[in-house]
Amino acid sequence: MVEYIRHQLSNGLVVLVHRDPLTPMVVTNVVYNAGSKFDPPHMTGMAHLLEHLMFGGSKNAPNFDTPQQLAGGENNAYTNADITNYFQVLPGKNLEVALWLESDRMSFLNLDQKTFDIQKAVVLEEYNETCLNEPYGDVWHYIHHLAYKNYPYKWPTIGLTPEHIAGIGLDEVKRFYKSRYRPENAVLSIAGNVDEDKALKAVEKWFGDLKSEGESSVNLGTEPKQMEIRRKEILSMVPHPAVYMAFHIPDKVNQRFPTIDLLSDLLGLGRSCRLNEILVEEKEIFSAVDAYVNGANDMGLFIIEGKLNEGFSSKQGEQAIWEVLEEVKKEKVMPSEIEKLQNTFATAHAFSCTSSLHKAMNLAHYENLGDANLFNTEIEEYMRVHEEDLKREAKTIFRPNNASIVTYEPAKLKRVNHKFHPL
Amino acid sequence: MPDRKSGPEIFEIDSIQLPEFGKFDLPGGSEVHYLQTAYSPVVRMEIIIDAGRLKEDFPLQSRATAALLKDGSKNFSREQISEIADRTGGSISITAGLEFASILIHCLESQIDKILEIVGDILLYPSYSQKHLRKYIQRRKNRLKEDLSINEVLAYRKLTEELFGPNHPYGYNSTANKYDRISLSTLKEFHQMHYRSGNMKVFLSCQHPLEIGEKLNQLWSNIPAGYTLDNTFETPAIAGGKTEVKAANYAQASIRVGKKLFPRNHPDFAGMYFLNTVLGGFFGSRLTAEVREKQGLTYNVFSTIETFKMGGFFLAGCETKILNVDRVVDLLFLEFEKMRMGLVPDPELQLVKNYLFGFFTSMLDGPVNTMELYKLLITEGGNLESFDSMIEDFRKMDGNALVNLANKYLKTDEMRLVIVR
Repeated sequence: MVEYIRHQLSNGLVVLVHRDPLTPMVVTNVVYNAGSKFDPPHMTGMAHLLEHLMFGGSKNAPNFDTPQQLAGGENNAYTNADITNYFQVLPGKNLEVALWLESDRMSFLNLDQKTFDIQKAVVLEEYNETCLNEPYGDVWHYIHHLAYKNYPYKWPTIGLTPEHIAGIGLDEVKRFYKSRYRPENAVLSIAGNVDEDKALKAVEKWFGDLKSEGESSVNLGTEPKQMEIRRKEILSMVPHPAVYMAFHIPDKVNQRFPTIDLLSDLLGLGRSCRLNEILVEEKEIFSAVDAYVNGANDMGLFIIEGKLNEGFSSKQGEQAIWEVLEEVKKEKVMPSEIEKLQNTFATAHAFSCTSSLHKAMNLAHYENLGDANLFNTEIEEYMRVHEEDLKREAKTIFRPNNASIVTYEPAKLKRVNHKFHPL
Repeated sequence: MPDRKSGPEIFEIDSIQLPEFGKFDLPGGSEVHYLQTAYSPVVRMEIIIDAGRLKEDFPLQSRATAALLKDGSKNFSREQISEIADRTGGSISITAGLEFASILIHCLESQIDKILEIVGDILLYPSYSQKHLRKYIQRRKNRLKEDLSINEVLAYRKLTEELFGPNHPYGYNSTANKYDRISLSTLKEFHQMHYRSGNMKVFLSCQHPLEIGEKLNQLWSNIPAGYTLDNTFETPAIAGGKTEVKAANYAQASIRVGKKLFPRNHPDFAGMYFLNTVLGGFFGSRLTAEVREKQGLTYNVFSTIETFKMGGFFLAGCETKILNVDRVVDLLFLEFEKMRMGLVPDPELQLVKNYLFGFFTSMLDGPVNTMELYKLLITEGGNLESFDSMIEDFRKMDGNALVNLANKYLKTDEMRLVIVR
């Protein structure tokens, strides 16, 4: 149980404070509803580029990193389709340094042309490094493009193409910043060696005078129901054939989510999971397989992926995965399997309560989903999952007309510099 | 209204207090180092076995010996090991690095008996079957093929091979041929010879370490006593120079530059750790500031020092567009030269000191992190006093000491440069 106090400032910022006297550190975590789903469709990658710019200094703290490092701190950030998340870890007595820096960049970020140009170049190198320089690094481009036809999950967070990133204008970034980086669009959590009352006072001091701009609701549209199996077959310089299958699932706060999450564990978690036991160990078709939910807030994806052993094609791999999925739909899930899934969840939850960073992040994320206390209570939902629930979800989700399938086959060509082509 | 312009006062870290660790011995010479936690239901236990590459008679022997532990034992089949371990909700991860094999356990304390039953059996009586060796080789060769399609892997492999030599435990690389030549009998021999109590150390953090200690005591009464010595190896002298390697992929080139250093117990360790932090060891470092933040030439540039029992090396690296390779190499070498030619200014020294004190303090966030730090300390031949003395060395570090170290270890004409493009 992670105890915390919750307070909302008059400008709308929600603050959560968890005291842990056993650590010398404190963590601040700020989550903004500012993920890549808010990117303009012709300038994808903007939310992520702005994350880089958030380290470029603000009006009163022109250098973000120096005071942070002088205070003995580390910091980092990440962006996904829904949110952009910033955290700082520093000795407890320097909490105010983190609050000063976070509050200043929340409202007074410096967005100058020089920093903008450099960070754009850095992000283009990041694109090269993560999407083009590694085998299968472009898979998320293909999966998102196949699975979403309308909803702005249809591009990957880093941006659809290098041209999109290169084409982002500073004025558009300024508009994005103004519309999404506001106290009422953020949650601040603090976890660690701090006194709750003092921490709240310090938050009021640094964030209290930031101006609220009022709600900035954006209509992101809806995703039409998928009616057909979707495929993309890729011939490229990859070492092995591979299969990626993506199935639509509901949003993260949906009551079906815990069952679906455990279904992914039944298939993909641990050495004794179904996919590994059948496809890697018994039939030796795959060298590695995995199954997981991608954790999107709105309407996410259930992913199954695997790399084939020598002598097997991606087509054979896909067929073998469908056979395992059919078994889950039809055959009994043993009580021992349910016990395993629930124990694994409970253990992971207990470990996530052992560090301030995990606690701060989890509290902020669940609050952003609607209620920080879900971090403490969701375990009850997982413990209520029954064998029949898993079967029912398997039948609902694992249908061909809910599947987007990306397959890779190694090209025989030499020295191909491959590039993502959206269609 | 807060004074936004000057910001809040920054408090320095005056001391880093490691918590109290306990220690007891197990039969046959194993030590258990433990950290008692409050109110937490979780157990983190790691068994470190001094049975890495320094003890090998054949390449990849230590890695395969460790990896196959989970593939069956006298009383449990592979399937049962996976099933029972997974059903506890915990995990048993087995890895083998250059110097040690490790069995890392995460579980709830309520499940420790079931976990230890498995761990005891696989540690004492692994079955080493031909079928599982064949599967292991297949898996590893697949993984190797994937790794060899990544430029930075090619660069790292080439550099470490050049620095230590292709037959040295720190220098040799896995190949498909080396995997094919692994034989079952050599794994059994390696296990029998080196999986001995005197080669093992246990690092335990949980709420009731002494109760778990009693269970370990029973288990250890069956582990053969004694310890084994490392083999000795020649490391050839290597002159500076450049090697070009053909790329597997043309999106980016990979640059790695390095030089052999010293073992971890060397008196220059703390100084070089500090110097490396200034140069490329954190986000505020000179390399990141220059190559990424000022010039926008890369997403990632870094330097690091790796130290082992019998040697070590300095490594810097960067991924960048092929057309920027020469520019980035020049910048890396220029930054090495600056470390040799000019004193690190006092404000930068102070910043790095504060950053390092904060970094080591942050490793005390929670029992899992704290035990990880303590394990590093002990397995690297240190103790609480050596940690305190390293922190003290950092505190006293000055510009002259860094220039002297840079002149000793960062001469550009002694660097090996590998470019994969």
